[in-house]
Amino acid sequence: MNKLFALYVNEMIKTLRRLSAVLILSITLVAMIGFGVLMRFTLQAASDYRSSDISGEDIKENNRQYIDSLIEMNGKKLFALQEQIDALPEGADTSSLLIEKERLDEDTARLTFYRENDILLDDRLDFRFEAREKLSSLKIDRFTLSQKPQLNEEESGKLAALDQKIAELNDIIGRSDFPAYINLLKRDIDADAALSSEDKTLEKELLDLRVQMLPDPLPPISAKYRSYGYNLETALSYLRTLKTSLKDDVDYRSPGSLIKPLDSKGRAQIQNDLAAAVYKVKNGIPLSNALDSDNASYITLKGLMGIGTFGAVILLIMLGGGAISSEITSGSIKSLIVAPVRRWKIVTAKLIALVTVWIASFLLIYAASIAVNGLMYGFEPGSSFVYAVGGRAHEIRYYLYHFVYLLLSFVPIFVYFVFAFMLSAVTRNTAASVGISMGVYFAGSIVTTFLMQFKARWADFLPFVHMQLADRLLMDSYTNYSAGSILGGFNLTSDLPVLFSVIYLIVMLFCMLYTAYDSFCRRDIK
Amino acid sequence: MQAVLTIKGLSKSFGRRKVIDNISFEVYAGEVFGFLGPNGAGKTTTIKMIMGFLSIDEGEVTICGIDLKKNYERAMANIGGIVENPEMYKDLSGLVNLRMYARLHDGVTEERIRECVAMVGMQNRINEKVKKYSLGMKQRVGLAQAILHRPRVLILDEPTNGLDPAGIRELRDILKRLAHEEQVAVFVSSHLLSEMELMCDRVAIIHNGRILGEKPIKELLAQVAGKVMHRFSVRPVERALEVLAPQYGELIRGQNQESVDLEIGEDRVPEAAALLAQNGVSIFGVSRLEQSLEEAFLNITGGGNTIE
Repeated sequence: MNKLFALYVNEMIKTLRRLSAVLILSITLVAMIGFGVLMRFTLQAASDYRSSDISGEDIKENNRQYIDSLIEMNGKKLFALQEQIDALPEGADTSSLLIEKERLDEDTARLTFYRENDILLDDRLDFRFEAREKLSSLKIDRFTLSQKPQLNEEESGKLAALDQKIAELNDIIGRSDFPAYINLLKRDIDADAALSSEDKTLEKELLDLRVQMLPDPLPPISAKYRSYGYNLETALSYLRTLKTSLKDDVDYRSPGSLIKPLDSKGRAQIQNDLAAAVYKVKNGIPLSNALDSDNASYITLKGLMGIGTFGAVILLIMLGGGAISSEITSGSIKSLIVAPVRRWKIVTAKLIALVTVWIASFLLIYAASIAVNGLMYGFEPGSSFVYAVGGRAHEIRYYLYHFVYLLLSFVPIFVYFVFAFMLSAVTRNTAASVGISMGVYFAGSIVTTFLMQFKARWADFLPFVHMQLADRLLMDSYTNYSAGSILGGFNLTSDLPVLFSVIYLIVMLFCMLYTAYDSFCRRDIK
Repeated sequence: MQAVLTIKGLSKSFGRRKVIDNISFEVYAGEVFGFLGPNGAGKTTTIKMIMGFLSIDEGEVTICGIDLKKNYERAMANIGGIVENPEMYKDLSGLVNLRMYARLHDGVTEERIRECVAMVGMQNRINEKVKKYSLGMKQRVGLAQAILHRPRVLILDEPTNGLDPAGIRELRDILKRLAHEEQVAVFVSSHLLSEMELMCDRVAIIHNGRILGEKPIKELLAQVAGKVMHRFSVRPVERALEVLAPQYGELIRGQNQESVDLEIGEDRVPEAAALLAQNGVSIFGVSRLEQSLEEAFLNITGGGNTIE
């Protein structure tokens, strides 16, 4: 055992003195810093362009001007309409024109209301935008009804109900009472005869979520205000998609599976996604970090880790691919063979040294990513990652999530350096070992993407699919489906259970290690 | 004497070719044992089998009574050595190389490392990177490495390669001291008999994977010493051959247009000269041809020019 430790110490000394290893790590770190700075300034410039220059006041002013132009247009239309009405002969039926006139009047009243209260057109956060629209349509309904020369009993009841509702809505808007507005909407749902009881429950649930999602108090109008509202709307429509998927037993998210009814797995998946989405909405976590274009810090951090991972792949393949062959080529293996140590101990020491480098480079890249990102954007953690199991949502805090994600991204690196190590022991040729491993690494992802597109069943048994553990375990379902739809509806990850992949990887590692040990321990060193 | 390295019935094939064929010998404590043979005879292969580079097809290697196959680490702890050229980690200094090697053995202190470095005369340059060393310097550090852990058996494969004459002499002295004073069994392979002559107590000659003989160096030298040649410059050569044929026929070793070589000692020169003179052959001169040890060696190994 102490022999093994001595061998390990020697291996570490050799590794640390390898100039190429130090060089690759330094280049990686420099690249990470450069990338961080670059992202900071390009993304900053982009977001400056999008938002920061425009102050809340500017937005309001623009809004007012726009509303004014609409009101002016309405005035012109009204004038033309009035002329038309006046031109009609006495006794002609003017009701349709009058309704049109009422519509224009009402529209102007509505716009004026928005203008006075600084409510943005298309405002998704302030419910008064929507409520006032509703009010307008009620008023027009009422006017239309009142234009009828004679009303039967049912119609008069309807008119009274409309009057009452208009009064109530007016009151709600006047008091800016959001809960009351939601209650009103709920009553409407209950009263809607066209909806099944299932639909009613669904709609009411969505309304509840909407209440939970709305920030209280509303943020001041600013550049972010609009995107906030947009996110909210996206979230609501996503939740609606999920809920209707469950109700109708069809996955509405993926275009390919529209015709198929949900199986139990798909159902559980949707339930989990729903739980996660609801959790996010309730806790003010954006539906997707990755798709949130304002989240420069998140994107930069992912990029930094990507660069780091790439550097680590090169480093470890290089070290692994030369571990045995370079010593045999240079002859320095002699001092190990002559020493009183069994060969399996030599292999083991080399492997442990490589694993040490693997762990060290993982920690280094994690620390460097966080540090660079923190220096550029501040160390304030971003929003947590949310996943759900068995319908229960769980949260992984920002830094822990990135830790785990990077760790899972390092699993393929482990596989690749063991592969390179095995080749090194078998071929005893450093160039071949490093070259083949690199080739497989680069070709692997291309081949996988390609095969995935054709959904080749046998591709499931290629190793590449099973190495994408990070994406399969920690891929946000919302982002995944959004990205998937952009890429034409195919899913980048395998349908196989993760456990299968883990077993696959373990078996593969075992076989490669066995080959390496067997080759080094049994073959002659000439 | 106690045998510390015993080789019994060792065989090795590379593919279908038998490179080492059933060789056996013993090396005793306190002697320098020469392992002599032309290139390709199997010297290095034998050493690599003893040192664990190559698997042993057949036979036994016993070091200080420990079977190498059964207890590899304990047996190997008693061996030190250099196989072919000493190779070290080129980017590390000689001292770091030694320390790394020392770590793999029990009980090698920093003092012992310094002592060995001093013994091979490398104390001034031991902190330089190995890639700056000449072959001779590497040999020296290699030797220091081989003796760090006070092995009972020291195996050196062509240790004088790359050494200057002074270095060869130093090496010789070190090896002799180790053997005679510290009772180490020193096993040296070489294809140079002259080198063996000065260094070894006993030699074994290996050729085509077989041991041809094993004897003390003095006996071998005596055997070689008997084979002295004299060159007779004579005219006409044909007549001389005629005259010499009956009596010296088997001893004629060579001839050209001016001379005849006879394998005879000084004592028999007057006799042969008289015979020639009496039969009308003009003798222009007689010179002694020193048969080199190498030639003797070639004679023993039957030429050894073809590497099989």
